[in-house]
Amino acid sequence: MKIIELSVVVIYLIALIILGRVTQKRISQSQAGVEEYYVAGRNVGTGVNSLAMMAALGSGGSFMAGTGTAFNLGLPFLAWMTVGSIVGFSVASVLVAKPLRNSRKFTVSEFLNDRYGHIFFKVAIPIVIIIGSAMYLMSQMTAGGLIASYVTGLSYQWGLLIITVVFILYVSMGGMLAVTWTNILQGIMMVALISIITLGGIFHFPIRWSEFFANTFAEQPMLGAVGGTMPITAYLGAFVTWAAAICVTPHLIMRIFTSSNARSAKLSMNISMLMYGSLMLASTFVLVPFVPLLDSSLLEATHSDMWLLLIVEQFFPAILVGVITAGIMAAVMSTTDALLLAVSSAFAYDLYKGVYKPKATHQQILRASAIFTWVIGITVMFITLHPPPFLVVLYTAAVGFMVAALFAPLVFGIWWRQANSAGAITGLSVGAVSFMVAFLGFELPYNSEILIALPLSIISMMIVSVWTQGPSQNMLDRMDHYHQDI
Amino acid sequence: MTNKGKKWYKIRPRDGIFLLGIFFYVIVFFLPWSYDVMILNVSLVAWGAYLLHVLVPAVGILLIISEKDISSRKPEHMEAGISKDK
Repeated sequence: MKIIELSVVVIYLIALIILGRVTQKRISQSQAGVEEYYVAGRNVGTGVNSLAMMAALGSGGSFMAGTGTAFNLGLPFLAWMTVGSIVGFSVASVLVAKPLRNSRKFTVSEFLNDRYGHIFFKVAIPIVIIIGSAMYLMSQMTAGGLIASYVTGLSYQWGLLIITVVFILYVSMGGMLAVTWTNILQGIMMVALISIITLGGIFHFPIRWSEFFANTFAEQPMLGAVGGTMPITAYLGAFVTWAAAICVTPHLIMRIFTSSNARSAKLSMNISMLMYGSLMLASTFVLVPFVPLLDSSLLEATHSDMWLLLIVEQFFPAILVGVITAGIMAAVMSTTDALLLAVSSAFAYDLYKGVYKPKATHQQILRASAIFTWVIGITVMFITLHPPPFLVVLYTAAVGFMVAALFAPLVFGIWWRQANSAGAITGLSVGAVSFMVAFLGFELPYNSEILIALPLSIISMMIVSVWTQGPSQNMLDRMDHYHQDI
Repeated sequence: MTNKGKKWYKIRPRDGIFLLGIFFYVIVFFLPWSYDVMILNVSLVAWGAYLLHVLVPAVGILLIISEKDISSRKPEHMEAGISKDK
């Protein structure tokens, strides 16, 4: 057991639970309880939201696993996968930020229900979100379990249990307000620590960087080559998946609803990605060359997602490694808690209040949210206790599935006046089904299912919308209002 | 941007150019000419993506900031509530 590292991490976890308790008190005292719980009172400023957005995106898969993934899967693949989400935020800031924020809704489901007004969406969208986000959640919980196991010396299963209980506690108590506050803390830690790690790497270069970087290719000749580790179709698929995903992924897009206004939402989306892109660039080029210096037997014995920590152990004393471990844990938890909230919102707000009990009081919704958070968190944890070996494939597939189903109904619903419920039902169904058929039924290159499913969804939605009756004037007037500068 | 009666809502021209710019940039770097151009043993395909890491958000921020500049430079006749159209 790493006592110093463990102490730092325990202090950090206790701080998160206290934060959850404080926000719970604030919500219970607030007049706008549900608004505080789901959208943090809609008054999160630009700087704070930028940090929270970066924290929600920067996860175990990027900051923690980036070094090992780049070394194993090659720089071109990771570069396009990473830049997909960076471009995705900028695209979303143009395509969806203003109308979503102006709509004053709580969730993407609520916005789509309002746009199309059909019972199909009340059930289908939460189901798509629950399936997609739960698979995404599994991959993040696995990363959380791995890192908790690294710190405590306990088994992966015990690590997973500890980490799950902590974030269920603060999400169920404080909702979006707790997630926002903790994401700010986590965002600050991520910026500071990735900067410290990168600087540590720079100060420990054994030779000039250009030579050091060139030496990496002796160990991994395919590191910079195109098609060395996977076909270029996979690069394009990963890029398209993430570039479109930000518009529809609930745990990221819900940050738009928390912004104080549409301009602030757009600005924070781009600022967060400038920070994220800079950190990913710096950490990749500084840290990847250190991988060949590690003992090959140690690399084989350690999950590649954890190689970053093996490098860090060479630079810093134990106490700083503890702080860095807490920071990396923050990266994992900041995505996990936002995802957990997105799934529990889909259950409590969209299904419970939207379908089962439309007249539910604020207190009943908040209670249902807390219960669903526990049920979902524990259920996903049990599935993740024995994670399937194809988890990385599942994780990207989860995002791809949500994009294939929701992108056309949401983006075309915002920009195309002719888009109607029949077209959106078709687009959603065709996108979801064709993605699943391509993913499960065919041996396609990694990530490339989206290149088939997304065009099919868009085309089918447009054809059906053109051939059926357009939306009501009342609804179009509301959309006109959402497009105005408010 | 209401444009009532039109089938599509109008996107701001600068935003439209921004999206098209990203689209064509990606197309250009995914064409085969860039696969074998190597800089520091790394394909130009990857360098194209790395440049985009900072280029896209930086341009996005500039567009939004200049948007405010434009709105803050309202002509006097607008601030006085006088229509320019005669």
